[in-house]
Amino acid sequence: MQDREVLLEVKNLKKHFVIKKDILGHHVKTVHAVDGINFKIFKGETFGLVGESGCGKSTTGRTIIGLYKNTAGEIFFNNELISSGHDECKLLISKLKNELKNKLKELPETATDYEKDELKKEYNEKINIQKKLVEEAKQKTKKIERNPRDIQMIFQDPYASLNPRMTVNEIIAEGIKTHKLLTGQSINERVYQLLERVGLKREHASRYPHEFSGGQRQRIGIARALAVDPKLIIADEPISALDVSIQAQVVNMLEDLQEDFGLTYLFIAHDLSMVKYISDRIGVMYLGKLMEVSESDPLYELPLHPYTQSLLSSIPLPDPDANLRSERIVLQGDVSSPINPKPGCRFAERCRFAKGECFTESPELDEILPGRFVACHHVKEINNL
Amino acid sequence: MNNNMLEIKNLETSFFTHLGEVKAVRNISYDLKKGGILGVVGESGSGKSVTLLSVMRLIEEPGKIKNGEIFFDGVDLTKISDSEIQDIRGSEISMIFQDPMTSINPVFTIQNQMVEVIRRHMRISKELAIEEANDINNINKREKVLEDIEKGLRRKLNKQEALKRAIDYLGLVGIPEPEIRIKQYPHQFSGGMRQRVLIAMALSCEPKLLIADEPTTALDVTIQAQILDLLKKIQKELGTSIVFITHDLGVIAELCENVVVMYGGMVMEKGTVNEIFYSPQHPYTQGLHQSIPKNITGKKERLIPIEGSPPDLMDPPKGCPFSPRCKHAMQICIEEAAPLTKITESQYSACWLQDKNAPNVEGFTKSGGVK
Repeated sequence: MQDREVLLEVKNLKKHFVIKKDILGHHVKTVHAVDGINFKIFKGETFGLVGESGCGKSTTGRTIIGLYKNTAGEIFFNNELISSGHDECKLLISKLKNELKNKLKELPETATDYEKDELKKEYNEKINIQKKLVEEAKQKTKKIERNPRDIQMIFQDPYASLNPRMTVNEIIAEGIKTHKLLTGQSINERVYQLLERVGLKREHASRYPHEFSGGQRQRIGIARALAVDPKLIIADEPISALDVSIQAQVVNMLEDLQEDFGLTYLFIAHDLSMVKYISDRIGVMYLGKLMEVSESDPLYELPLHPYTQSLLSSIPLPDPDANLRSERIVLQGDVSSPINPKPGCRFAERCRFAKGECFTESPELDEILPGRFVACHHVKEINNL
Repeated sequence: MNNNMLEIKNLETSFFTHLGEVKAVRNISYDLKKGGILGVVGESGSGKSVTLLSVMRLIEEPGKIKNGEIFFDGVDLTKISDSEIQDIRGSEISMIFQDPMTSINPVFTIQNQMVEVIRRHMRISKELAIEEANDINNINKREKVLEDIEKGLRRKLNKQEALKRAIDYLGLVGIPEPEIRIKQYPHQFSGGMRQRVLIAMALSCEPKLLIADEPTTALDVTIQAQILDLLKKIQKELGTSIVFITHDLGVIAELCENVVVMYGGMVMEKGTVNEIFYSPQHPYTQGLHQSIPKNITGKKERLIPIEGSPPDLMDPPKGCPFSPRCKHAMQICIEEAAPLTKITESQYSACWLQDKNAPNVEGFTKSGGVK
């Protein structure tokens, strides 16, 4: 496993959305959509990202492709830095400055200038460290030469993701023209070729999106993503808006394309049985954190994290007898809010095994068994390892 | 005594749009036993929701029930007047819709909406009514009231009684602190909680039949598991009959006793859950099973999709709606829709391959050809 080539690496990725500021501009309410996740995607594999709505899986995909600027953390593509966030350092600076102000006010009137200077010195040192970090990050960001062609995206809603005023030809050719990959008649040839590759016909090129069914539109979206020869495709719930009988068509096609073009997929979905079917490795997210990362077969056979255990046991199987046999771990309560989350493990409130440190300290994602990463304080006791 | 809660016979519902007639439901028949759970499975546009909206008489212009009979507990719902159906709706038949965000009024509190439903439909229990009547001093008046009670004329619940009932039902569906939560507005509830409120509202008048139209599609799997457990509990404890509409075969397998498979506005196959899952007879049902990942553990088998796309209901195929996508399609399939053929006592399949004159095809066990 170790010697496989890493295509995408995400280090301590964070994306926070500020939803409320006070009159001084300080952040009062922040949605911690993605809160420090680490994972690698190897060349040629399919990495599935699963979780319930609001867990940050789509935000992760959108941050990787650059639709959102990451708050903190770094993203490497082909071992080159493509995005580096430093907003958190800036936040920290303003926080430190505030703290200093308050501390100065709190000092008794009898305090000498010396004491004040000491305090200022202490804080200035901290602030300078952060400033340096920001400076470094800025320098790094300047050097980034990002090739947007390398990563492409397929969206969930095939009705909203295609411009209704453009013909299929224009939609697919747009990327080719923007990146000046081809000129003149060869563009049309390429479009026809792509259309046939995704199971549509040449004649479809001159039509508009509204003339197609949901499944066909998703095929157009896939052709558009393929048009610029990407290396990584981020598929954000590509099949959840489609009918059951159409889903299999699209999934099979994605698999064929992967083989033919050597693509790597980041497959984001909430349909756990489909994710299992298509993915080589899977990351399970809960409220902005990765709970478990593992190869897909062992994950489904023996989930280690208590959240993964209950999530997998909640899937209704298309097999009446199996449902009678299997024991269900029904989670109590709802997903708590990602706004200003409490310290400790994000899952602690709904966890059957939560105690003590679960509520105070956030667990790290550690390799428990070879190739299996779990973020849980008590994973060993729970699973008798 | 008839043992069926709901009997749909040869139902046809169409929508007359300016582009032409959309035949959403074409000659559908199925029934539901008292106290049973029936699953209706189909893709979007298969007519599964329109059938049940026809049962509730909620088809609005330009839609129309063209033909057919719907017997609910022996009463033909297509023949009764609007005011009669209004009395049945909400009290004897309730419906839960897919989207919990849009089916509750956002500007009223939960209390407001639940009490309204209960006061509209519920009357006090017979025992309580007799007890109250016995407190009347005037003998003539008392006699008259008791006579009315015998006829089923009892007073409706007052506000306090209705509120108490609403709180009881919120508790039943697992909402913590119902006395406090009932005073809140819908936006203060999460998606799963809103769906619970809807279920509580639907159950509060003790309906005999509950129609659930994809109630868990908009919810996460962990919440879905909670709701399915709740529906099972309700069916067991209150004896409510349930029709569950979904496109998810997993949910059907988990919850239902009998299944109806619909496609292109017609019933393709019906039977018990074991028959539909372990010996599906119709090519469409078989195709559905092959196009979803069966095992979540174990070896990966490549999915076999159903090629093509669902029919255009504006201009449906003349014969079997599935014939353009069916790999076994014969000349007769294109020309004429197959009748439902009896396979076993409970299983029926609408496929010409079940006919006694049909050729033998791999994967098919022909029945005796009883029509």
